[in-house]
Amino acid sequence: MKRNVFPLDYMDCMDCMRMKTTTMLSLILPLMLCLLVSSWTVAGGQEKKAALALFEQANILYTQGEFQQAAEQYSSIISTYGVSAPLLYNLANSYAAAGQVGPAVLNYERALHLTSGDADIQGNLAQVRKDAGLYRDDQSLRRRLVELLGADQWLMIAGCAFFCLGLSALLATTEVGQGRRALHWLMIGSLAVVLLTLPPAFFRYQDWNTGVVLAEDTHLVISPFADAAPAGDIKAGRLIRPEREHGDYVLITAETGKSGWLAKDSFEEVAK
Amino acid sequence: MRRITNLFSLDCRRGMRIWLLSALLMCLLSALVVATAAAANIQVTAELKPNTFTVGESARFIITVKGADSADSDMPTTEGLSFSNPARTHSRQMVFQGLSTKEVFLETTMSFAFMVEADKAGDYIIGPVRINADGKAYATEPVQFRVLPGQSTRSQARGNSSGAGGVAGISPDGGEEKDFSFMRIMPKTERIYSGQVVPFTLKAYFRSGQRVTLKSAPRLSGEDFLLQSLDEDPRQQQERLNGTVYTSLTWQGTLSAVKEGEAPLTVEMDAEVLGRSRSRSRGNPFGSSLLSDPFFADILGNYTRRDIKIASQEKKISVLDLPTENRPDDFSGAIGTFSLAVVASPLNGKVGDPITLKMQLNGSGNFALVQAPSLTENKGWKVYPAGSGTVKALGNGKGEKSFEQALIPIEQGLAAVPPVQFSYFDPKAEEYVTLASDPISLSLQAKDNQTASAPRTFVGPVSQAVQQGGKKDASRKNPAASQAALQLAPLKPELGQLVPSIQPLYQKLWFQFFMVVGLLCLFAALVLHLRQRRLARDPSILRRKEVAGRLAEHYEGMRKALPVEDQEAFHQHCRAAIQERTGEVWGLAPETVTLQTWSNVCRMSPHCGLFFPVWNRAGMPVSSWHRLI
Repeated sequence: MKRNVFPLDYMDCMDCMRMKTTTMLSLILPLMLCLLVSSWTVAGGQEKKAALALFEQANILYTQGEFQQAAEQYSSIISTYGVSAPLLYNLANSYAAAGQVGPAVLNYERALHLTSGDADIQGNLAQVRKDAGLYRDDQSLRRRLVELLGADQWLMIAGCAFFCLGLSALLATTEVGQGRRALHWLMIGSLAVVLLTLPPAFFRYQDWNTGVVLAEDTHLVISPFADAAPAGDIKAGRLIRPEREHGDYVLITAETGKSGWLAKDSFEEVAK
Repeated sequence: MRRITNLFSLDCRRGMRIWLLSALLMCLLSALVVATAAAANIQVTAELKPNTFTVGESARFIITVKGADSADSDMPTTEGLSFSNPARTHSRQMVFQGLSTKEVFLETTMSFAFMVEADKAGDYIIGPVRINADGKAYATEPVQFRVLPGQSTRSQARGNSSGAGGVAGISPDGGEEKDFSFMRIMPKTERIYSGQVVPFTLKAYFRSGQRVTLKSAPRLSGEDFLLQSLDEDPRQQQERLNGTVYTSLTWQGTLSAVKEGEAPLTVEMDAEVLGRSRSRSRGNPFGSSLLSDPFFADILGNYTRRDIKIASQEKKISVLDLPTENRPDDFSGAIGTFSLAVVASPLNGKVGDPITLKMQLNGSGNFALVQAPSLTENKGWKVYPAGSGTVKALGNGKGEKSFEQALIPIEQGLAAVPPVQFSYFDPKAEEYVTLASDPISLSLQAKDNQTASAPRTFVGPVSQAVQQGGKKDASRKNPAASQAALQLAPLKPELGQLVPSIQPLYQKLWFQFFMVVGLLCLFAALVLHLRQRRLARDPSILRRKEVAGRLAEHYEGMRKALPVEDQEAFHQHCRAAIQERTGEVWGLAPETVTLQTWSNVCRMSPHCGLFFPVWNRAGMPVSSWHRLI
C-alpha cells in the first residue's frame, strides 16, 4: 500500500526553494565577509604605508646623527598609529644615542613587553644600562629562571597546555584502551605544564607595574613634600616599583632596594 | 484512788487546754499588735558605697526599706550617671526590743541595689527615688557624692560595648593606672631630626585577670611618624603599678619623623576583651533579677566579647630639620652614629684588573638611607658604582650595612687605593661628621696589553633601510653620540605589526576565546565522564537504549514490508520485535524467547494469553496484521 502525502512536483518545488535560499545565503555571507575584511585590510594597509614612510624617514634621521629628531619622529608614529616592537626599539636606540638613558631604558623595556626574546633589544638594553652604571644585584636562581621568558610567553605556554588539557580530557571520554591511557598521560603532562608555568607568568606580570626614572639628577626624599630631607639620588634609567601616592609624590622601591618618595613627573610606567 | 486520779487528770487536761488557748490568743493578738506597729514604722534609707569614686569605676547605690511586707522601687535617674545591674534582697529577722519588756517583733528588710557609674568627674546628687511600700509611696533622701577624674575614656568603651570601636585608654591627667588597659610609648628621645631613626619602647598594660586577645599589632596614629621596625613577639610580664597588678606586653621598635615641627606621637592597638554582659531591663528594673544576679551570671556564662581600641597618651615630639650649615657635599641623608671599615682585594694585581672594595658601616641610625661611601680621589681609576648594600639588623636600633664596589686601576704607578669618605649627621652632637678611611697600599704590576680597559664597541650590521637612506656618517654630525650609537645593535628596518597599546596576553580577546574553548572542553569531558559513570553503574539504561534502537529498526522493517506485501520479511521483523521486547521485560536474551517460553510464562499470567493469537497469526496473510501494527 502506497501513501503519498505530497505530490512529487510539490516536494521538488519545496526542495528547490530551500536550495535556492541556501545557495543565496552561502554566496552572500562570504561575499559580505570578504568585503568587510578587504575594506578593513585596505584601510589598515594605507595606514601602515603612511606609518612605514614615516618610520623610514626616522631611520634616515638616525643614520644622519639627528638622534633627537629621529626620536621625535618615532614618537609621532607611536602617537598616531600605535606601537610595535621594532618601532619602540628604534626609538630607544635614538634616545640611547642622544644620551638620554631614562627614555632609552623605558622604550627598551616596552619593546621587550612586545617581544621578550629579541636578542637585539636585550643586548642594547644591557649595553645602555652598563654604560650608565645601572647595575643590578645578583639575581636569585628562581628569578633568573622566571626571567628566561616574558610574561606573555609564560602565559601562552600555560594557555596552550590548558587547551591541550581540555581537549585530551574530552577525547579521553570517548577513547578506549591504549589510546585512552595515552590521553591520560597527556592530561597529566598538560596539567603539570599549567601548574609550572602559571606562577612564572604571574611573577613576570608583576614586572609590568614597574616604572623607569626618566630625569637625570633625580632625588628621593624621605617624605612626600617638596622641602623634605633627601633620601639619596636615583639614576635615570633605574627601574622602580611604585607603591603608593601622596600628592605629587609616589613612594617607590628601586630595583636596588632603595626606597623613598619620588616626584610623579620623574618617572614613567613601562606598561602605560 | 484510781477515780480520784482520773478526775485529777480530767481537770488537769481541761486546764491545760484553756491555758493553751489563751496563750494562742495572746500570741495572735501580740502578732497583730506588732504588725500594726511595724506597718506604722516603715523606714526608707538610701546610701552610696563608696561615697567617692573615679570615672570608670562604679559604686553601689543601695535603698533599704525596713518594716514593709512588700516594696517596689523605681530605677533612679540622674543626668551624667548610669544605673545598671539592679538587684533586690529580702530578709526577715526577729527583733528584741528591750530585754525587760520581752517585746519581740519580726522586722522585714528589703534592699534595692544599683550599680552606678559616671561619665565624667564632678559632684552629683541622686535625687529622691520613689518607693512604693505596702501600697504607700515613700521617697529616699537625696544622696550627694563626688566622682573623681581618672577614666574619662572608659565610658566611651562602655557606650560602645555592644559593637566594635570602644576606646579604653588613659586620661589626660595621667590616671592611666586606674584603667583596665592602657599603652605607653617611650621614645629614646623627644627631640629628633627629620629622617632620624629613633628606638622606642612600647608597653601595653592589661589589668591582671582580664581575658584579652590582641587583634592587631600596635600602630602609630597620624601621619607624622613612620614605624620603621617593631618586634613581632612582645615580651610578656607581670607588673605592679600603684598597687594594681597588670600584665604588660613590651615591644622594642624604631620610628622616624616625616616632617619638622611639633608632632603628637600616639600609638594604638585593637584588642578583644571578654567581659560580663550587662542586661538592663527597661520596665521593672527587678523583672529579671534572677538572671542579672552576679552569681547566676557567672554560672550561666553571661559573658560577651567586645572590641576595644587601646591608645596611648599623646606625647609631643619636637621634630627638627637638619641644619644646612656645614652640610658636607657627600651627605646623603644618613643620621645616627656610624663607624667605617674598609677592605680592598686583591692588592697585587695588574693594571686593568678589578679590585673589590668592601666597605662596612656599623652603628645605629637610618640604615635604609645610608648610601655607600664615596672615593675621595678617582684619578687613574675606573670606578664602578657601588651596590645598594645589605643591611643586617643587630637589634636595639643597631645594625651594619655592607657595600661592595669595583675599581679598576687604569694607570700605571698607582700606590694606594684612595680613601673613601662617608658623611652623616650625629643627632647627639648635633653636627655633621665625615668619616674617612686610610689609603690602602697597592703594588700594581704592568698590564699585559693596552686594550684591557678599552671600552667594548659593538658594531653590528647596518640595516638595509639605514644604508639606503643614509647620506651622512653619524660620527661627523655628533661624535659623542655616534660613539654611543656605534655600541648599539643596529636599527630595525621593518616596522612590524602595529598595535594600539601594549596589552598583556590575558587581555587579548583571542586568548580569552582560546581559554573559554579549553574550559568548555574540560566541562564537556566532565559531563561525559559523569554520564559514563552513571551508565557503568546501571547497565540496564544502556540495554534499554539498545533494545529501543533495535525495536525501531524492526518497526521500520515492518513498515517497509507492508507496501510490498513481503510477508516473510514482515513476519521476521515482527517476531524479532516481540522477542526483543519480551526478552527485555523478562530479562532474557531475545534469541531464547520462543513459543515454548511464551507458553511457560503465560501459564501463570492470564493477560499473556492475548499474545498467543498474535504469535499464531504469524502464518496468516500480512494484510490481517495491519491492525496490530
